[in-house]
Amino acid sequence: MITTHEDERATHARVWSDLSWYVNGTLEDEATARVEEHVRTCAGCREELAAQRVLRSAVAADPAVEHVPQLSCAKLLGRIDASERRRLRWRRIVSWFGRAAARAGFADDSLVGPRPGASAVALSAQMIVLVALLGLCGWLIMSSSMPAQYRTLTSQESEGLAAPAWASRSNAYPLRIVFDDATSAGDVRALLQTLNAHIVDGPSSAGVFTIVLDPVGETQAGREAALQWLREQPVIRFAEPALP
Amino acid sequence: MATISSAVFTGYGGEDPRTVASHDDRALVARIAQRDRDALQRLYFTYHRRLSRFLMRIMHRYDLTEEVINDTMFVVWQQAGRFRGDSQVSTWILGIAYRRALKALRRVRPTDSALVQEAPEHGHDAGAAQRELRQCIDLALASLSAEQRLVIELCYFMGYSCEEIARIAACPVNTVKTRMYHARLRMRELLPSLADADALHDWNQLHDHNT
Repeated sequence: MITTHEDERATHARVWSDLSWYVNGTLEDEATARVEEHVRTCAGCREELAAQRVLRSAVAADPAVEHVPQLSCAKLLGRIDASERRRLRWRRIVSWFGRAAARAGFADDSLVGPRPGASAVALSAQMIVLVALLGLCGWLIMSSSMPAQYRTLTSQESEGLAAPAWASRSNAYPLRIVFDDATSAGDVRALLQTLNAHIVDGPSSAGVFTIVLDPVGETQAGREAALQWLREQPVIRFAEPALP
Repeated sequence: MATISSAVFTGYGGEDPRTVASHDDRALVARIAQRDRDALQRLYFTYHRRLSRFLMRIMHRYDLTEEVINDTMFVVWQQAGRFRGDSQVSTWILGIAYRRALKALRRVRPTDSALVQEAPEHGHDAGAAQRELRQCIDLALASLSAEQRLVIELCYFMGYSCEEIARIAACPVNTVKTRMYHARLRMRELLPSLADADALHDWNQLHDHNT
């Protein structure tokens, strides 16, 4: 068989490329035969073959590794546990708002269940945004109705500046409440507006919300009055101070 | 959270998990898709040694190796339901480990000093010349790109064919060949005397002794 110079160059390139897999023994029979025939006459490929054998021997040596799979596996299981807890927490929040939306007539009961679907998630997200907006509206109303709190160089005010409503929130006396299952989104909205309150936490797994009252919650009398009023509302199953 | 005593681990039914490699991997993946933690642990112990040997060669750090192994098996846990069986389970898992290792390698490059300190020791006294050559090879390998390094390791350490490496790396066969081509060129630049007869003789003797 007459081979041209081009054929020889092509064979050389092909063999050179195949040397790695000839060295690790995974080359197919036909390619193996081609390599073995070619290296008989090609010094360059023989040298490269030798170099790759040295490299493979060096790489193939087993590193001194202490295998402790039990401890590593325990870490993995802990990570899976944490991931599952986060997933369940989010599912509870979505389910709660899904139920609220269903009771308010925003959606039907098919969206409420142990595995809320995309529609329930979307509705729940809308409910969360709605509650957040209610809180913002309450704050805006309060801040606009309060006199401007600033002091000029010529101000005759001797008393200290009253802290704005938002600055007092961190010191406000929070309350914990639980809504009745039949409470609608409209009832929640109305109750919060009446009290000038907003939700700062919840719902917990037991359906407990933490609310803060502005500015009524800044005084003991105001807090007590709000608590008394809440306990009289039919939509409230439970109300107590959050702090002892 | 699962707790495992530091005392002897009896596995399941007294069987050492590391000897259950004969279990059907596909059946384990199917059970993992059903949230079976027992199956996940079995698969973990089956692949841990292989993965840790492979990854330690690249990372040279046990903490990174463990991180990549756990990242890999966490993905297995999350995506077991999507495994269609169109490849071997080992190829699938190695593919996940490959991508995680690539990310880790790009994030952390082993320093030269770390390589010198952590150069693997052989089972017997290999001699100063062999140790020096071994360190030179490790340093040269560390200078390769992450993709080139992984091709070298999958070929020479794990013993995979070109086609298998292409499946693991999710790239064409020609891409694997190109990476190997450039890796070998780089090694020749850094270690021009790698094919030296003395080194070859010594390394072949050492390899025959260890196998």
